[in-house]
Amino acid sequence: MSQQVCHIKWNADGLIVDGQQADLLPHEGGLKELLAAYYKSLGLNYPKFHKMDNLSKLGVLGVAMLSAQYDLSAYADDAIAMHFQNASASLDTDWVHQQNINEGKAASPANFVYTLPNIVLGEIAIRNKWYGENLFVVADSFDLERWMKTNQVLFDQNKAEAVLGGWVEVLEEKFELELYFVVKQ
Amino acid sequence: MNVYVTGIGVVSALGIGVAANQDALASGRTGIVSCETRKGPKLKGCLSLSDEVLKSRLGLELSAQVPRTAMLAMLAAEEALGDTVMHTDIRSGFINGTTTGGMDLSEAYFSALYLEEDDSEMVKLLTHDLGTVTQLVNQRLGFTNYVNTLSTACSSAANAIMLGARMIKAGMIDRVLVGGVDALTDFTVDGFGSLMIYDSEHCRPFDEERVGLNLGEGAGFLLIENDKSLAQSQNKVLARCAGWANANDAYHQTGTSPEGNGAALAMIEALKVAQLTPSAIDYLNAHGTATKNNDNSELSAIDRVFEGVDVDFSSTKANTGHTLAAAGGIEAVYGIMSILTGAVFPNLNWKNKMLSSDRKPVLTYTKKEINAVMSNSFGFGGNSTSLIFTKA
Repeated sequence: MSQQVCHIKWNADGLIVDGQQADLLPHEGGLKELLAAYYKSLGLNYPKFHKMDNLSKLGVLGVAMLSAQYDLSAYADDAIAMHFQNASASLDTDWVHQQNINEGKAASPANFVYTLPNIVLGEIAIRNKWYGENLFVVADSFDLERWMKTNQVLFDQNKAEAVLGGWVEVLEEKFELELYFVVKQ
Repeated sequence: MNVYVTGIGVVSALGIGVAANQDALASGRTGIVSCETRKGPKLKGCLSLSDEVLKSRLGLELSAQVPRTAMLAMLAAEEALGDTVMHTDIRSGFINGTTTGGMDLSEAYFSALYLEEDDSEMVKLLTHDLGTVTQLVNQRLGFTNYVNTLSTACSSAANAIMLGARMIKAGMIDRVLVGGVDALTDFTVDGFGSLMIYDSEHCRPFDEERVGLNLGEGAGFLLIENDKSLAQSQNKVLARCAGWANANDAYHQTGTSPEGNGAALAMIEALKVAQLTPSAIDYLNAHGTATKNNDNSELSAIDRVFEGVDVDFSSTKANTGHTLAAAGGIEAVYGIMSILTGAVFPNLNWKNKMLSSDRKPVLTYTKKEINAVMSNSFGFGGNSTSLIFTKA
Protein backbone atom coordinates (compact mmCIF):
# COMPACT_ATOMS: atom_id res chain seq x y z
CA MET A 1 0.00 0.00 0.00
CA SER A 2 1.04 3.61 -0.39
CA GLN A 3 0.05 7.02 0.82
CA GLN A 4 -0.15 10.25 -1.13
CA VAL A 5 1.59 12.94 0.90
CA CYS A 6 1.81 15.86 -1.47
CA HIS A 7 0.00 17.09 -4.55
CA ILE A 8 0.69 20.05 -6.79
CA LYS A 9 -1.51 21.11 -9.69
CA TRP A 10 -0.25 23.91 -11.87
CA ASN A 11 -1.64 25.25 -15.12
CA ALA A 12 -2.81 28.48 -16.74
CA ASP A 13 -5.68 28.72 -14.21
CA GLY A 14 -3.40 28.87 -11.20
CA LEU A 15 -1.33 26.88 -8.77
CA ILE A 16 -2.69 24.53 -6.13
CA VAL A 17 -0.27 23.14 -3.57
CA ASP A 18 -1.84 20.63 -1.21
CA GLY A 19 -5.25 22.20 -1.68
CA GLN A 20 -4.02 25.78 -1.24
CA GLN A 21 -4.97 27.71 -4.34
CA ALA A 22 -2.96 30.69 -5.52
CA ASP A 23 -3.04 32.95 -8.56
CA LEU A 24 -0.13 32.69 -10.97
CA LEU A 25 2.75 35.04 -10.26
CA PRO A 26 2.62 38.27 -12.24
CA HIS A 27 4.89 38.15 -15.29
CA GLU A 28 5.35 39.88 -18.61
CA GLY A 29 5.29 37.66 -21.65
CA GLY A 30 4.57 33.99 -21.99
CA LEU A 31 5.37 30.66 -20.38
CA LYS A 32 9.15 31.22 -20.38
CA GLU A 33 8.72 34.42 -18.36
CA LEU A 34 6.21 32.78 -16.03
CA LEU A 35 8.65 29.98 -15.25
CA ALA A 36 11.42 32.56 -14.69
CA ALA A 37 9.17 34.38 -12.21
CA TYR A 38 8.72 31.16 -10.20
CA TYR A 39 12.46 30.44 -10.36
CA LYS A 40 13.03 33.85 -8.78
CA SER A 41 10.30 33.58 -6.18
CA LEU A 42 11.50 30.14 -5.08
CA GLY A 43 14.99 31.60 -4.59
CA LEU A 44 16.62 28.81 -6.58
CA ASN A 45 20.29 29.34 -7.13
CA TYR A 46 20.76 26.98 -10.07
CA PRO A 47 22.09 28.74 -13.19
CA LYS A 48 21.66 25.57 -15.30
CA PHE A 49 17.91 26.25 -15.05
CA HIS A 50 18.15 29.04 -17.60
CA LYS A 51 19.50 26.68 -20.28
CA MET A 52 16.61 24.23 -19.95
CA ASP A 53 13.60 23.94 -22.23
CA ASN A 54 10.18 24.75 -20.77
CA LEU A 55 9.33 21.09 -20.13
CA SER A 56 12.42 20.57 -17.98
CA LYS A 57 11.91 23.91 -16.24
CA LEU A 58 8.35 22.99 -15.34
CA GLY A 59 9.45 19.65 -13.88
CA VAL A 60 12.39 21.09 -11.96
CA LEU A 61 10.27 23.92 -10.50
CA GLY A 62 7.50 21.51 -9.52
CA VAL A 63 9.96 19.31 -7.63
CA ALA A 64 11.47 22.39 -5.95
CA MET A 65 7.98 23.45 -4.78
CA LEU A 66 7.29 19.97 -3.55
CA SER A 67 10.54 19.71 -1.62
CA ALA A 68 9.73 23.04 0.04
CA GLN A 69 6.51 21.40 1.28
CA TYR A 70 7.86 18.03 2.18
CA ASP A 71 11.38 17.08 3.28
CA LEU A 72 12.90 14.77 0.65
CA SER A 73 16.44 14.91 2.04
CA ALA A 74 15.89 12.01 4.43
CA TYR A 75 15.68 9.57 1.53
CA ALA A 76 18.72 7.65 0.26
CA ASP A 77 19.90 8.75 -3.19
CA ASP A 78 18.24 5.79 -4.90
CA ALA A 79 15.08 5.54 -2.78
CA ILE A 80 12.90 7.97 -4.75
CA ALA A 81 11.68 6.70 -8.11
CA MET A 82 10.52 9.16 -10.76
CA HIS A 83 7.54 8.28 -12.90
CA PHE A 84 6.24 10.98 -15.22
CA GLN A 85 3.84 11.00 -18.12
CA ASN A 86 2.69 13.41 -20.81
CA ALA A 87 0.96 13.53 -24.17
CA SER A 88 3.32 15.59 -26.31
CA ALA A 89 6.67 14.01 -25.36
CA SER A 90 9.34 16.61 -26.27
CA LEU A 91 7.45 17.92 -29.31
CA ASP A 92 7.68 21.52 -28.02
CA THR A 93 11.47 21.44 -28.52
CA ASP A 94 11.56 18.89 -31.37
CA TRP A 95 9.64 21.43 -33.42
CA VAL A 96 12.21 24.19 -32.83
CA HIS A 97 15.11 21.87 -33.74
CA GLN A 98 13.33 20.55 -36.85
CA GLN A 99 12.47 24.07 -37.94
CA ASN A 100 16.16 25.08 -37.85
CA ILE A 101 16.93 22.13 -40.13
CA ASN A 102 13.95 22.88 -42.42
CA GLU A 103 15.11 26.44 -42.90
CA GLY A 104 18.71 25.37 -43.51
CA LYS A 105 19.94 27.08 -40.33
CA ALA A 106 22.58 25.61 -38.04
CA ALA A 107 21.04 23.28 -35.49
CA SER A 108 21.49 24.43 -31.91
CA PRO A 109 22.84 22.14 -29.18
CA ALA A 110 20.71 24.07 -26.69
CA ASN A 111 17.63 22.68 -28.44
CA PHE A 112 18.91 19.27 -29.51
CA VAL A 113 19.70 18.05 -25.99
CA TYR A 114 16.04 18.55 -25.05
CA THR A 115 14.57 16.58 -27.98
CA LEU A 116 13.86 13.60 -25.71
CA PRO A 117 11.08 13.73 -23.09
CA ASN A 118 13.10 11.79 -20.50
CA ILE A 119 15.58 14.67 -20.28
CA VAL A 120 13.25 16.30 -17.75
CA LEU A 121 13.87 13.25 -15.53
CA GLY A 122 17.61 13.65 -16.13
CA GLU A 123 17.47 17.32 -15.11
CA ILE A 124 15.58 16.53 -11.90
CA ALA A 125 17.97 13.64 -11.13
CA ILE A 126 21.03 15.82 -11.75
CA ARG A 127 19.77 18.65 -9.55
CA ASN A 128 18.80 16.36 -6.68
CA LYS A 129 21.57 13.76 -7.13
CA TRP A 130 19.03 10.96 -7.38
CA TYR A 131 20.05 7.61 -8.84
CA GLY A 132 16.78 5.68 -8.44
CA GLU A 133 14.35 4.16 -10.92
CA ASN A 134 12.95 6.46 -13.56
CA LEU A 135 10.27 6.04 -16.15
CA PHE A 136 8.66 8.40 -18.65
CA VAL A 137 5.48 7.24 -20.37
CA VAL A 138 3.78 8.93 -23.32
CA ALA A 139 -0.02 8.64 -22.96
CA ASP A 140 -3.12 10.40 -24.30
CA SER A 141 -4.16 11.65 -20.89
CA PHE A 142 -3.31 11.22 -17.23
CA ASP A 143 -4.91 8.29 -15.50
CA LEU A 144 -4.06 8.50 -11.80
CA GLU A 145 -5.23 4.98 -11.04
CA ARG A 146 -3.04 3.49 -13.76
CA TRP A 147 -0.12 5.65 -12.70
CA MET A 148 -0.51 4.34 -9.15
CA LYS A 149 -0.63 0.73 -10.36
CA THR A 150 2.83 1.08 -11.90
CA ASN A 151 4.09 2.70 -8.69
CA GLN A 152 2.75 -0.25 -6.72
CA VAL A 153 4.96 -2.56 -8.81
CA LEU A 154 7.99 -0.47 -7.84
CA PHE A 155 6.99 -0.71 -4.17
CA ASP A 156 6.22 -4.45 -4.31
CA GLN A 157 9.62 -5.18 -5.83
CA ASN A 158 11.43 -2.98 -3.29
CA LYS A 159 12.67 -0.77 -6.11
CA ALA A 160 11.63 2.44 -4.35
CA GLU A 161 10.45 3.81 -1.02
CA ALA A 162 8.64 6.71 -2.65
CA VAL A 163 7.52 7.75 -6.11
CA LEU A 164 7.59 11.30 -7.36
CA GLY A 165 5.89 12.20 -10.60
CA GLY A 166 2.63 12.49 -12.46
CA TRP A 167 1.84 14.57 -15.50
CA VAL A 168 4.23 17.14 -16.99
CA GLU A 169 3.02 18.57 -20.27
CA VAL A 170 4.21 21.53 -22.34
CA LEU A 171 3.29 22.43 -25.89
CA GLU A 172 4.03 26.00 -26.94
CA GLU A 173 2.21 28.20 -24.40
CA LYS A 174 0.03 25.41 -23.00
CA PHE A 175 1.33 23.73 -19.87
CA GLU A 176 0.07 21.45 -17.17
CA LEU A 177 1.82 19.97 -14.19
CA GLU A 178 0.19 17.49 -11.88
CA LEU A 179 2.79 16.35 -9.40
CA TYR A 180 2.38 13.74 -6.70
CA PHE A 181 4.63 12.37 -4.01
CA VAL A 182 3.56 8.96 -2.75
CA VAL A 183 5.33 6.94 -0.10
CA LYS A 184 5.34 3.23 0.52
CA GLN A 185 3.45 2.17 3.64
CA MET B 1 13.51 -19.26 -15.19
CA ASN B 2 15.94 -19.56 -18.14
CA VAL B 3 15.84 -16.96 -20.90
CA TYR B 4 16.98 -18.57 -24.16
CA VAL B 5 18.06 -16.65 -27.25
CA THR B 6 16.79 -18.68 -30.19
CA GLY B 7 16.92 -16.24 -33.07
CA ILE B 8 19.05 -13.27 -34.14
CA GLY B 9 18.59 -10.79 -36.95
CA VAL B 10 20.57 -7.73 -37.95
CA VAL B 11 20.73 -4.96 -40.55
CA SER B 12 23.48 -2.34 -40.56
CA ALA B 13 25.75 -0.42 -42.89
CA LEU B 14 27.65 -3.72 -43.11
CA GLY B 15 24.72 -5.35 -44.87
CA ILE B 16 21.50 -7.27 -44.35
CA GLY B 17 21.66 -10.39 -42.22
CA VAL B 18 23.91 -12.10 -39.70
CA ALA B 19 26.18 -13.64 -42.37
CA ALA B 20 26.95 -10.34 -44.11
CA ASN B 21 27.65 -8.63 -40.78
CA GLN B 22 29.84 -11.54 -39.59
CA ASP B 23 31.96 -11.40 -42.78
CA ALA B 24 32.44 -7.65 -42.51
CA LEU B 25 33.33 -7.71 -38.79
CA ALA B 26 35.76 -10.61 -39.26
CA SER B 27 37.51 -8.87 -42.14
CA GLY B 28 37.59 -5.49 -40.39
CA ARG B 29 35.44 -3.75 -43.00
CA THR B 30 33.61 -0.49 -42.31
CA GLY B 31 30.21 0.47 -43.69
CA ILE B 32 30.78 4.15 -42.99
CA VAL B 33 30.92 6.12 -46.25
CA SER B 34 30.79 9.72 -47.41
CA CYS B 35 27.18 10.79 -48.13
CA GLU B 36 26.00 14.00 -49.78
CA THR B 37 23.78 16.21 -47.61
CA ARG B 38 22.35 19.73 -47.99
CA LYS B 39 25.24 20.89 -45.83
CA GLY B 40 28.04 19.09 -47.69
CA PRO B 41 29.45 15.58 -47.39
CA LYS B 42 29.08 13.66 -44.12
CA LEU B 43 30.44 10.27 -43.11
CA LYS B 44 27.55 7.98 -42.25
CA GLY B 45 27.00 4.29 -41.67
CA CYS B 46 24.35 3.96 -44.34
CA LEU B 47 22.87 0.72 -45.69
CA SER B 48 23.53 1.18 -49.42
CA LEU B 49 20.02 0.22 -50.55
CA SER B 50 17.34 2.77 -51.40
CA ASP B 51 13.84 2.72 -49.89
CA GLU B 52 12.56 1.45 -53.26
CA VAL B 53 14.93 -1.51 -53.24
CA LEU B 54 14.02 -2.31 -49.63
CA LYS B 55 10.30 -2.18 -50.53
CA SER B 56 10.71 -4.62 -53.38
CA ARG B 57 12.83 -6.91 -51.19
CA LEU B 58 10.06 -6.89 -48.57
CA GLY B 59 7.30 -7.34 -51.13
CA LEU B 60 5.75 -3.96 -50.29
CA GLU B 61 3.91 -1.81 -52.82
CA LEU B 62 6.16 1.00 -54.06
CA SER B 63 3.39 3.48 -53.22
CA ALA B 64 2.98 2.17 -49.65
CA GLN B 65 3.81 4.70 -46.94
CA VAL B 66 6.36 2.77 -44.88
CA PRO B 67 9.20 4.64 -43.15
CA ARG B 68 12.74 3.37 -43.77
CA THR B 69 12.94 2.74 -40.02
CA ALA B 70 10.09 0.23 -40.25
CA MET B 71 11.68 -1.52 -43.24
CA LEU B 72 15.06 -1.94 -41.53
CA ALA B 73 13.20 -3.37 -38.52
CA MET B 74 11.14 -5.74 -40.69
CA LEU B 75 14.29 -7.22 -42.25
CA ALA B 76 16.04 -7.82 -38.92
CA ALA B 77 12.90 -8.93 -37.08
CA GLU B 78 11.98 -11.48 -39.75
CA GLU B 79 15.51 -12.90 -39.73
CA ALA B 80 15.38 -13.28 -35.93
CA LEU B 81 11.93 -14.85 -36.01
CA GLY B 82 12.94 -17.34 -38.71
CA ASP B 83 10.42 -20.16 -39.15
CA THR B 84 8.93 -19.70 -35.67
CA VAL B 85 5.15 -19.77 -35.89
CA MET B 86 2.66 -18.25 -33.45
CA HIS B 87 0.81 -20.68 -31.23
CA THR B 88 -2.28 -19.92 -29.16
CA ASP B 89 -0.84 -21.58 -26.02
CA ILE B 90 2.30 -19.46 -26.16
CA ARG B 91 2.01 -15.89 -24.85
CA SER B 92 4.15 -13.90 -27.23
CA GLY B 93 5.20 -10.27 -27.57
CA PHE B 94 7.21 -7.68 -29.45
CA ILE B 95 9.22 -4.89 -27.79
CA ASN B 96 10.84 -2.36 -30.11
CA GLY B 97 13.32 0.35 -29.12
CA THR B 98 13.48 3.38 -31.41
CA THR B 99 14.12 7.12 -31.28
CA THR B 100 13.69 8.29 -34.88
CA GLY B 101 10.41 6.49 -35.61
CA GLY B 102 9.02 7.54 -38.97
CA MET B 103 10.98 10.80 -38.95
CA ASP B 104 12.68 9.97 -42.25
CA LEU B 105 9.34 10.47 -44.03
CA SER B 106 8.41 13.51 -41.91
CA GLU B 107 11.65 15.12 -43.10
CA ALA B 108 10.77 14.35 -46.71
CA TYR B 109 7.50 16.25 -46.15
CA PHE B 110 9.24 19.19 -44.45
CA SER B 111 11.87 19.33 -47.14
CA ALA B 112 9.21 19.50 -49.88
CA LEU B 113 7.32 22.10 -47.86
CA TYR B 114 10.22 24.44 -47.19
CA LEU B 115 12.37 24.00 -50.29
CA GLU B 116 9.66 23.57 -52.92
CA GLU B 117 6.63 25.06 -51.13
CA ASP B 118 4.85 21.76 -51.77
CA ASP B 119 2.48 20.92 -48.93
CA SER B 120 0.75 18.03 -50.72
CA GLU B 121 2.58 15.32 -48.77
CA MET B 122 1.31 16.13 -45.28
CA VAL B 123 0.01 12.57 -45.05
CA LYS B 124 3.65 11.54 -44.52
CA LEU B 125 3.35 12.81 -40.94
CA LEU B 126 0.90 10.02 -40.15
CA THR B 127 3.75 7.53 -39.70
CA HIS B 128 5.86 9.92 -37.62
CA ASP B 129 5.44 8.53 -34.14
CA LEU B 130 7.50 5.69 -32.70
CA GLY B 131 4.58 3.39 -31.96
CA THR B 132 3.40 3.52 -35.58
CA VAL B 133 6.70 2.02 -36.70
CA THR B 134 6.29 -0.81 -34.18
CA GLN B 135 2.73 -1.41 -35.40
CA LEU B 136 3.76 -1.47 -39.07
CA VAL B 137 6.40 -4.09 -38.31
CA ASN B 138 4.00 -6.08 -36.16
CA GLN B 139 1.40 -6.15 -38.95
CA ARG B 140 3.77 -8.60 -40.65
CA LEU B 141 4.72 -10.51 -37.50
CA GLY B 142 1.35 -10.85 -35.75
CA PHE B 143 2.29 -10.67 -32.07
CA THR B 144 -0.85 -10.23 -29.99
CA ASN B 145 -0.26 -10.63 -26.25
CA TYR B 146 2.12 -7.75 -25.64
CA VAL B 147 3.41 -5.04 -27.97
CA ASN B 148 5.40 -2.07 -26.67
CA THR B 149 7.73 0.67 -27.88
CA LEU B 150 10.60 1.93 -25.74
CA SER B 151 12.55 5.13 -26.26
CA THR B 152 15.49 5.81 -23.97
CA ALA B 153 17.86 7.31 -26.53
CA CYS B 154 20.92 5.17 -27.30
CA SER B 155 20.05 2.46 -24.77
CA SER B 156 16.55 1.88 -26.24
CA ALA B 157 17.14 -1.55 -27.82
CA ALA B 158 19.19 -2.75 -24.83
CA ASN B 159 16.32 -1.76 -22.54
CA ALA B 160 13.83 -3.53 -24.81
CA ILE B 161 15.93 -6.70 -24.45
CA MET B 162 16.10 -6.21 -20.70
CA LEU B 163 12.34 -5.69 -20.40
CA GLY B 164 11.63 -8.81 -22.46
CA ALA B 165 14.05 -10.91 -20.41
CA ARG B 166 12.54 -9.64 -17.15
CA MET B 167 9.00 -10.40 -18.38
CA ILE B 168 10.04 -13.98 -19.19
CA LYS B 169 11.76 -14.33 -15.82
CA ALA B 170 8.65 -12.99 -14.07
CA GLY B 171 6.47 -15.54 -15.91
CA MET B 172 4.49 -12.82 -17.69
CA ILE B 173 5.28 -13.99 -21.21
CA ASP B 174 6.70 -17.08 -22.95
CA ARG B 175 8.27 -15.70 -26.11
CA VAL B 176 9.23 -12.18 -27.08
CA LEU B 177 11.00 -10.50 -29.97
CA VAL B 178 13.21 -7.73 -28.58
CA GLY B 179 15.60 -5.16 -29.98
CA GLY B 180 15.52 -1.87 -31.79
CA VAL B 181 15.86 0.20 -34.92
CA ASP B 182 16.77 3.67 -36.14
CA ALA B 183 17.21 5.13 -39.61
CA LEU B 184 19.46 8.05 -40.44
CA THR B 185 17.77 11.47 -40.33
CA ASP B 186 18.90 15.09 -40.59
CA PHE B 187 17.34 15.62 -37.15
CA THR B 188 19.97 13.39 -35.50
CA VAL B 189 22.93 14.08 -37.83
CA ASP B 190 22.53 17.86 -37.47
CA GLY B 191 21.81 17.47 -33.75
CA PHE B 192 25.00 15.57 -33.00
CA GLY B 193 26.81 18.00 -35.30
CA SER B 194 25.53 20.88 -33.17
CA LEU B 195 26.99 19.21 -30.07
CA MET B 196 30.39 19.33 -31.86
CA ILE B 197 30.83 15.58 -31.45
CA TYR B 198 30.43 14.47 -35.10
CA ASP B 199 33.78 13.42 -36.55
CA SER B 200 34.36 14.67 -40.11
CA GLU B 201 36.69 11.69 -40.51
CA HIS B 202 36.20 8.02 -39.61
CA CYS B 203 35.51 7.72 -35.88
CA ARG B 204 38.23 6.28 -33.63
CA PRO B 205 36.78 4.56 -30.56
CA PHE B 206 39.06 4.45 -27.49
CA ASP B 207 41.86 6.35 -29.29
CA GLU B 208 43.38 9.26 -27.37
CA GLU B 209 43.03 11.44 -30.50
CA ARG B 210 39.34 10.66 -31.06
CA VAL B 211 37.09 13.67 -31.64
CA GLY B 212 33.61 12.25 -32.10
CA LEU B 213 31.21 9.78 -33.66
CA ASN B 214 29.73 8.99 -37.06
CA LEU B 215 26.06 8.12 -37.05
CA GLY B 216 24.72 4.98 -38.66
CA GLU B 217 21.44 3.18 -39.27
CA GLY B 218 20.19 -0.33 -38.77
CA ALA B 219 18.22 -2.76 -36.66
CA GLY B 220 18.99 -5.67 -34.38
CA PHE B 221 16.50 -8.13 -32.86
CA LEU B 222 16.65 -11.25 -30.69
CA LEU B 223 13.97 -13.89 -30.26
CA ILE B 224 13.98 -14.92 -26.61
CA GLU B 225 11.94 -17.80 -25.15
CA ASN B 226 11.29 -19.72 -21.95
CA ASP B 227 11.25 -23.54 -21.63
CA LYS B 228 7.56 -23.84 -22.48
CA SER B 229 7.92 -21.79 -25.64
CA LEU B 230 11.06 -23.68 -26.62
CA ALA B 231 9.26 -27.03 -26.33
CA GLN B 232 6.65 -25.75 -28.79
CA SER B 233 8.95 -23.96 -31.24
CA GLN B 234 11.71 -26.61 -31.24
CA ASN B 235 14.09 -23.73 -31.99
CA LYS B 236 17.80 -24.25 -31.50
CA VAL B 237 19.20 -22.42 -28.46
CA LEU B 238 21.91 -19.99 -29.60
CA ALA B 239 22.74 -18.46 -26.22
CA ARG B 240 21.21 -17.49 -22.91
CA CYS B 241 20.30 -13.99 -21.85
CA ALA B 242 21.90 -14.21 -18.41
CA GLY B 243 22.29 -10.71 -16.99
CA TRP B 244 20.87 -7.21 -17.37
CA ALA B 245 20.78 -3.92 -15.52
CA ASN B 246 19.90 -0.28 -16.05
CA ALA B 247 21.17 2.62 -13.95
CA ASN B 248 20.91 6.40 -14.02
CA ASP B 249 24.16 8.32 -14.21
CA ALA B 250 22.42 11.57 -13.07
CA TYR B 251 25.27 13.77 -14.24
CA HIS B 252 24.51 15.63 -17.47
CA GLN B 253 21.71 15.68 -20.09
CA THR B 254 23.85 14.37 -22.93
CA GLY B 255 27.17 13.45 -21.34
CA THR B 256 28.24 10.86 -18.82
CA SER B 257 30.16 11.41 -15.58
CA PRO B 258 33.98 11.29 -15.86
CA GLU B 259 34.04 8.37 -13.43
CA GLY B 260 31.34 6.50 -15.38
CA ASN B 261 29.17 5.97 -12.31
CA GLY B 262 26.04 4.94 -14.19
CA ALA B 263 28.04 2.64 -16.49
CA ALA B 264 29.82 0.99 -13.55
CA LEU B 265 26.55 0.50 -11.65
CA ALA B 266 24.94 -1.12 -14.69
CA MET B 267 27.88 -3.48 -15.33
CA ILE B 268 28.17 -4.51 -11.64
CA GLU B 269 24.44 -5.15 -11.33
CA ALA B 270 24.31 -7.13 -14.62
CA LEU B 271 27.15 -9.35 -13.34
CA LYS B 272 25.18 -9.89 -10.13
CA VAL B 273 22.03 -10.87 -12.04
CA ALA B 274 24.10 -13.30 -14.16
CA GLN B 275 25.92 -14.54 -11.05
CA LEU B 276 29.25 -14.08 -12.79
CA THR B 277 32.54 -12.50 -11.75
CA PRO B 278 34.23 -9.94 -14.03
CA SER B 279 36.89 -12.51 -14.99
CA ALA B 280 34.15 -14.71 -16.50
CA ILE B 281 33.48 -12.14 -19.25
CA ASP B 282 35.38 -13.29 -22.37
CA TYR B 283 34.41 -10.35 -24.57
CA LEU B 284 32.99 -6.93 -23.81
CA ASN B 285 31.31 -5.13 -26.73
CA ALA B 286 31.63 -1.59 -25.43
CA HIS B 287 29.33 1.34 -26.17
CA GLY B 288 32.52 3.08 -27.45
CA THR B 289 30.94 5.88 -29.49
CA ALA B 290 34.34 7.57 -30.02
CA THR B 291 33.24 10.80 -28.37
CA LYS B 292 35.77 12.23 -25.90
CA ASN B 293 33.23 12.00 -23.13
CA ASN B 294 31.78 8.51 -23.62
CA ASP B 295 35.00 6.59 -24.11
CA ASN B 296 36.71 8.34 -21.22
CA SER B 297 33.82 7.68 -18.88
CA GLU B 298 33.21 4.11 -20.07
CA LEU B 299 36.88 3.13 -19.79
CA SER B 300 37.01 4.57 -16.24
CA ALA B 301 34.01 2.41 -15.39
CA ILE B 302 35.61 -0.65 -17.04
CA ASP B 303 38.80 0.00 -15.03
CA ARG B 304 36.76 -0.01 -11.84
CA VAL B 305 34.50 -3.00 -12.59
CA PHE B 306 37.27 -5.11 -14.18
CA GLU B 307 40.02 -4.16 -11.73
CA GLY B 308 42.90 -6.63 -12.15
CA VAL B 309 41.15 -8.36 -15.07
CA ASP B 310 42.49 -7.90 -18.61
CA VAL B 311 39.14 -8.14 -20.35
CA ASP B 312 39.04 -8.29 -24.18
CA PHE B 313 36.96 -5.33 -25.31
CA SER B 314 36.21 -3.45 -28.52
CA SER B 315 33.72 -1.06 -30.03
CA THR B 316 32.12 -1.94 -33.36
CA LYS B 317 30.91 1.66 -33.88
CA ALA B 318 33.76 2.26 -36.37
CA ASN B 319 32.20 -0.50 -38.53
CA THR B 320 28.54 0.47 -38.28
CA GLY B 321 28.48 4.05 -37.08
CA HIS B 322 26.49 4.84 -33.95
CA THR B 323 23.04 3.49 -34.75
CA LEU B 324 21.45 5.21 -31.69
CA ALA B 325 18.36 3.27 -30.52
CA ALA B 326 19.38 0.24 -32.61
CA ALA B 327 22.92 0.02 -31.18
CA GLY B 328 21.99 -2.16 -28.20
CA GLY B 329 20.14 -4.60 -30.50
CA ILE B 330 22.80 -4.76 -33.22
CA GLU B 331 25.56 -5.18 -30.64
CA ALA B 332 23.62 -7.84 -28.69
CA VAL B 333 23.47 -9.76 -31.99
CA TYR B 334 27.22 -9.21 -32.43
CA GLY B 335 27.81 -10.48 -28.88
CA ILE B 336 25.88 -13.67 -29.66
CA MET B 337 27.77 -14.03 -32.96
CA SER B 338 30.95 -13.78 -30.88
CA ILE B 339 29.77 -16.71 -28.72
CA LEU B 340 28.63 -18.76 -31.75
CA THR B 341 31.78 -18.27 -33.82
CA GLY B 342 34.26 -18.16 -30.92
CA ALA B 343 35.76 -14.84 -31.90
CA VAL B 344 36.40 -11.31 -30.70
CA PHE B 345 35.74 -8.50 -33.19
CA PRO B 346 38.44 -5.87 -33.78
CA ASN B 347 38.19 -2.18 -32.88
CA LEU B 348 39.00 -0.26 -36.11
CA ASN B 349 40.98 2.97 -36.51
CA TRP B 350 42.81 2.69 -33.19
CA LYS B 351 46.35 4.09 -32.97
CA ASN B 352 46.96 5.88 -29.68
CA LYS B 353 46.37 4.51 -26.21
CA MET B 354 44.20 6.71 -23.99
CA LEU B 355 46.17 8.49 -21.28
CA SER B 356 43.56 7.87 -18.60
CA SER B 357 43.87 4.06 -18.63
CA ASP B 358 46.36 1.28 -19.37
CA ARG B 359 43.81 -0.65 -21.39
CA LYS B 360 43.69 -0.91 -25.16
CA PRO B 361 40.95 -2.50 -27.25
CA VAL B 362 41.30 -5.73 -29.26
CA LEU B 363 42.69 -4.74 -32.66
CA THR B 364 42.58 -7.94 -34.67
CA TYR B 365 39.93 -10.57 -35.30
CA THR B 366 40.84 -13.11 -32.63
CA LYS B 367 39.49 -16.64 -32.35
CA LYS B 368 39.03 -17.99 -28.83
CA GLU B 369 36.42 -19.82 -26.78
CA ILE B 370 33.70 -17.38 -25.70
CA ASN B 371 31.45 -18.42 -22.84
CA ALA B 372 30.15 -15.04 -21.74
CA VAL B 373 29.86 -11.61 -23.38
CA MET B 374 28.85 -8.25 -22.00
CA SER B 375 27.26 -5.54 -24.14
CA ASN B 376 27.04 -1.91 -23.00
CA SER B 377 24.66 0.81 -24.20
CA PHE B 378 24.47 4.30 -22.71
CA GLY B 379 21.93 6.96 -23.63
CA PHE B 380 21.19 10.65 -23.19
CA GLY B 381 19.56 11.40 -19.88
CA GLY B 382 22.18 9.24 -18.11
CA ASN B 383 20.39 6.03 -19.09
CA SER B 384 23.00 3.26 -18.77
CA THR B 385 22.35 -0.41 -19.61
CA SER B 386 24.53 -3.48 -19.54
CA LEU B 387 23.52 -6.94 -20.85
CA ILE B 388 25.23 -10.33 -20.47
CA PHE B 389 24.81 -13.34 -22.78
CA THR B 390 26.26 -16.77 -22.10
CA LYS B 391 26.87 -19.90 -24.13
CA ALA B 392 23.85 -22.17 -24.56
